[in-house]
Amino acid sequence: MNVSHMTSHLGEWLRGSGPESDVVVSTRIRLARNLAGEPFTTRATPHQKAEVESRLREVVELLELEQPLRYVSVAAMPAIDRQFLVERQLISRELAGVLEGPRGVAFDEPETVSLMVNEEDHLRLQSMRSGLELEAAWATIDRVDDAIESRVEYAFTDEFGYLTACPTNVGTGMRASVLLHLPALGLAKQIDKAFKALQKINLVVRGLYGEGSRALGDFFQISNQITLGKSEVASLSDIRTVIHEIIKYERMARTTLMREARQNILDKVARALGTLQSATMMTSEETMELLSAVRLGVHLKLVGDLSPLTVNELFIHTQPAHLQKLMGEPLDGEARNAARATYLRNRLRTAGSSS
Amino acid sequence: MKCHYCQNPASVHLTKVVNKTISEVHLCEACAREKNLIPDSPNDLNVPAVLQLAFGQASAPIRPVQMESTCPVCGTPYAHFRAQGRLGCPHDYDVFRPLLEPILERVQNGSIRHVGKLPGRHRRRLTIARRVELESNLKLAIEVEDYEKAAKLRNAIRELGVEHER
Repeated sequence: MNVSHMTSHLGEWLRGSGPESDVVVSTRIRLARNLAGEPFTTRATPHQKAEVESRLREVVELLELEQPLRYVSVAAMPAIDRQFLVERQLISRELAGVLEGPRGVAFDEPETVSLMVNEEDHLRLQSMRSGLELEAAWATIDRVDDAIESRVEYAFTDEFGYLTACPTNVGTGMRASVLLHLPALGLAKQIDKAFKALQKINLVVRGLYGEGSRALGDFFQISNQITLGKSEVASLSDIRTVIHEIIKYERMARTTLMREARQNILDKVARALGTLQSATMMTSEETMELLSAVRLGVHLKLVGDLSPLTVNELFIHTQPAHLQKLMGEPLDGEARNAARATYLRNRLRTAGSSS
Repeated sequence: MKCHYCQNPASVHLTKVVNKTISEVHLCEACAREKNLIPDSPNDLNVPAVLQLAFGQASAPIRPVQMESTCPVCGTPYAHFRAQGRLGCPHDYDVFRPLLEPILERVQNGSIRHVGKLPGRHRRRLTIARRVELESNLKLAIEVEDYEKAAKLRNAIRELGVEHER
């Protein structure tokens, strides 16, 4: 499969719209499932993995969904293409580079559903949406899960629920994550305060690219921790409550900043935009921090002619694999930083600060 | 597995955790009845007798579960799970159960019982079975005056009703 054509559009989750999209970037729900009577992936022989892959591939390709899924073998893919799918959040870093042997992913054209085969669990189903859309994401993945389950038997016991390789996922196997952009709380140094309540109700905060990743550009992922003893519906409701609280704090912080430090915010946004428009070397970390400020500017209507969709496009297109696909050649280190700066300069040539 | 008291196959399995030590007792139905662990009515356990056994006042010695056990299905040793944090196959949940339960309790905030979605093919049967079990646990909780647990069970029963209707 050639992934290059995918640079011409963005996944649905990066549309930049949807409920509460001034603060919530996207919503993601994943389910962990395993086939009954088979060893989990990490203890399976290459032969067993190949069998699981061909069984699930057949099932996935027969699914009758509104958007058909296309299966691609990740094992047979060049490293840069795997990285490309990681950046689009269609596969995990583990599936891309840590795990070995037969494995793959099926996803639909709008990139709202992705099914990873032979991840840590035989099947990881994922549904992605733009904005805060927990119900819609759950409805989608619940339906896909039912459709698959009508064709294969999952490892399940009444007592422990859906059995998973790691006991932290057993039960519902569900992890719902909401990606938030909290620049005003970041500027006001109130992030920790806003997150204090999370631990008490068993929610976890992570950076943008999942487990162990640092929060760059004030992007935070909030997800449920508990999968056993709490239903999917109850978990989603807990998350929703907390997310609405945090959205409220972030909006209050934005209002306060605009009232009390309008010139400072304006200056921060203008400087970020100016740097992006003129720098000749740019790391992906710096890009993330600067685009974070620009994104805030867009939502505070301090930047005239930039849409949230364009800002999202810049975020994803400046990731290493996307950048190399766009440039049409492998680039490393300084060459990549130079190419990134060139790309940003060209894209932002006409954008200006207005106030 | 043989009965703790006689040579008959064991069909009643009790797991207990006292002072962080896990142990198991396996009995055949006849001995369990004789020790008053199961009454003649199939609907409920003899709570005082179970509690007595659980607090170590039963006459028989109880043997600790082997930390070095291995899953007979996938060959994964328990030690491998402790080192890697990943289980070998679905059967491990059964084989290592007494060792896993305290871990589940810790990582899952005290809960070791699935609540939520059921696979379509088992939905009807499991919903009924779960309701029967929850109701019997509720009865037990009320009997030992554990009202906090009883309240949780009532919620679970209510939630089951909601799930069932979808």
